[in-house]
Amino acid sequence: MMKFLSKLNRMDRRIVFLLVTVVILIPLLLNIQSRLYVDKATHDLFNRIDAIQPGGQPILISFDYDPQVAPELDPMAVAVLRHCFAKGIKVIGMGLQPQGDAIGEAIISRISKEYNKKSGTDYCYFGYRPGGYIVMLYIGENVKKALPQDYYGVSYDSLPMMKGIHNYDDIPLVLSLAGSTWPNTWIMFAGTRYKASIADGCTAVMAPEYYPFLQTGQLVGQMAGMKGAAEYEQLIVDAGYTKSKDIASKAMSAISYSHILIILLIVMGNIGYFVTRRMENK
Amino acid sequence: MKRNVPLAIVFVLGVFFVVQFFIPSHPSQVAYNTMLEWDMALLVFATVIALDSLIRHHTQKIMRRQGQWGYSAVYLSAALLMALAGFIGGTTDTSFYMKLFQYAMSPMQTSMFAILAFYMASAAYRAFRARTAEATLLLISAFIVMLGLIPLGATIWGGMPRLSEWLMQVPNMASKRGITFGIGLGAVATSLKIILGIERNWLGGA
Repeated sequence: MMKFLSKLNRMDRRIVFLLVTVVILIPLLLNIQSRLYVDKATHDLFNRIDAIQPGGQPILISFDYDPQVAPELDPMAVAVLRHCFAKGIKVIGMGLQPQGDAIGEAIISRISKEYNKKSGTDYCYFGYRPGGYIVMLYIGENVKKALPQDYYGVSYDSLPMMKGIHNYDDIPLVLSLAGSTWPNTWIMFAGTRYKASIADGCTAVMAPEYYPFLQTGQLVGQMAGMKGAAEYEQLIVDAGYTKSKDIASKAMSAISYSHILIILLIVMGNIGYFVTRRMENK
Repeated sequence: MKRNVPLAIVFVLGVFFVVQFFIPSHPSQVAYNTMLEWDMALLVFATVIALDSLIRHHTQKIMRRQGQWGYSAVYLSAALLMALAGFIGGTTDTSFYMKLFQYAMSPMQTSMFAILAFYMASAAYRAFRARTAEATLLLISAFIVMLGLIPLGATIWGGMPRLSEWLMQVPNMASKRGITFGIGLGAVATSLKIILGIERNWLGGA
C-alpha cells in the first residue's frame, strides 16, 4: 500500500497529459453546462452597457488581441456584441494589435448578420489602427482624424452613424479586449487625460493585474477569462437578449473539470511526497 | 552633434509637454495637436525602418546559409503570401486573406498557446508540494481560488466564490498595488533621467 502511495509522487507526465485531454474533451462532447456565480466586475460591465440608450451614442470595442488568446476573448466579443445589437446599441469597432484586425472583422460581420445590422448605420468597423497610445490621444481630440475611413474604405463623413461623434465625450464606454497590457494604456491615456469610461476583457492570467484599477473606478467593469465570457453569456440569457448560452459556457465546464483534476493531482502528488519522505526517514 | 541634438530635442519637448498637461489654454492645445500629427508621421517612418530591418535580417540569414535559415525562408514566404493575398484579394470576411488567417494562422497560434494547459497541469502536479508553512499557505489559497472559480466550489460551500473573490481582491491586490506603485515611480524616475539627459542608453552607440 505504502509503495503504491509513494508512486503517486512520480506519475509519468504522459498520464497527466492523457487525463487532461479526457477531462477537457468529455464536457465539450457531452455539452455539460452549469450555472456560474457572476463576478461583480462582469455585472458592472453588463449594467453599464445595458444603461446605454438604444440608438443613442455608440460604445467603442477595441480588439487588442492576437489569435493565441482568441479562444478566451472571442466569446467575450460575441457576447457583448449580441447584447448591443439585441438592444439596439451602436458599436464602433477597431483594434490596436495588427492581428486583431481580422479577428474583429470576422466577429463583427458574423454577429451583425445574425441581427440584420448594417455597417455604417448600426456599427462601424475601422480595423487595425497603428500607433497605440497616439490613436487613443487622437480619439480624445478628434475621432475623424484617428479613424479617417472604415475597414472597407468608406470615408468617415460617409458613415451616418459617426455623425456627431467627435471625441470620448460622445462615446459612453470603451471596452478593450486584450491579452496584454493594452487596458493599462487605455486607462493612462484615454481615462486619465480625457476621463473616458474604460472597461476590459482580458485573459484569466492577466485579470489580477487590473483589480487595483477596478477598485479605484478607473476600470468600470471587467470580464476575466473564459469565466468572464461565460458569466456575460449567462447575464444576456437571464436578461432575455439571447435564448441560449454559447461556447464560453461549454468551455467553462471543461475548465471546471480540469481544475478539479489539477486539485486531485496536487493532492495525490502531496500524498506521494509525504509517504515517500516517511519511508525514507524509516 | 549626433548626441547633443537628440538630447536637446528630448529635453525641450519633454519639459514642454510636462508643463502643457497643466495648461489647458488654446495655444497649448494647438501645440499638443500638432505634436500628435508629428507623432503619427514619425510612426510611419518607424514602421518602414522596422520592415526594412526585418526583411534584411532574414534575407541575409538565408543568403549566408546560417543555422536554421529554413525558418527564415518559411517566415518570409508566409509574410509575402499574406501580404499579396491582402493586397490582391482584399481583406473582407470572404477573401482568401481571411481564409488564410482563419484556417491556418489562427489555429496554429491557438494550438501553441493551448499546449500550455498540459504543461501547467503537469507542473502543478510536480511543483506544488506542502514542504514549508509558506508553501502550504500558497497551496490552500490556490485550492480556494480554483474552487471559487468553478460551480463545484459553490456546491461544496456557498461562501467559496466570495472567499475566493476576497483572496483576489484583498491580499492579492495589496501586493499588486505595491508593485504598481513601484513601477509607476520607476517610470517617472526613468522618464526624468531621459529628459534631463542622465540616462542615454536610448541613443545607442552614438
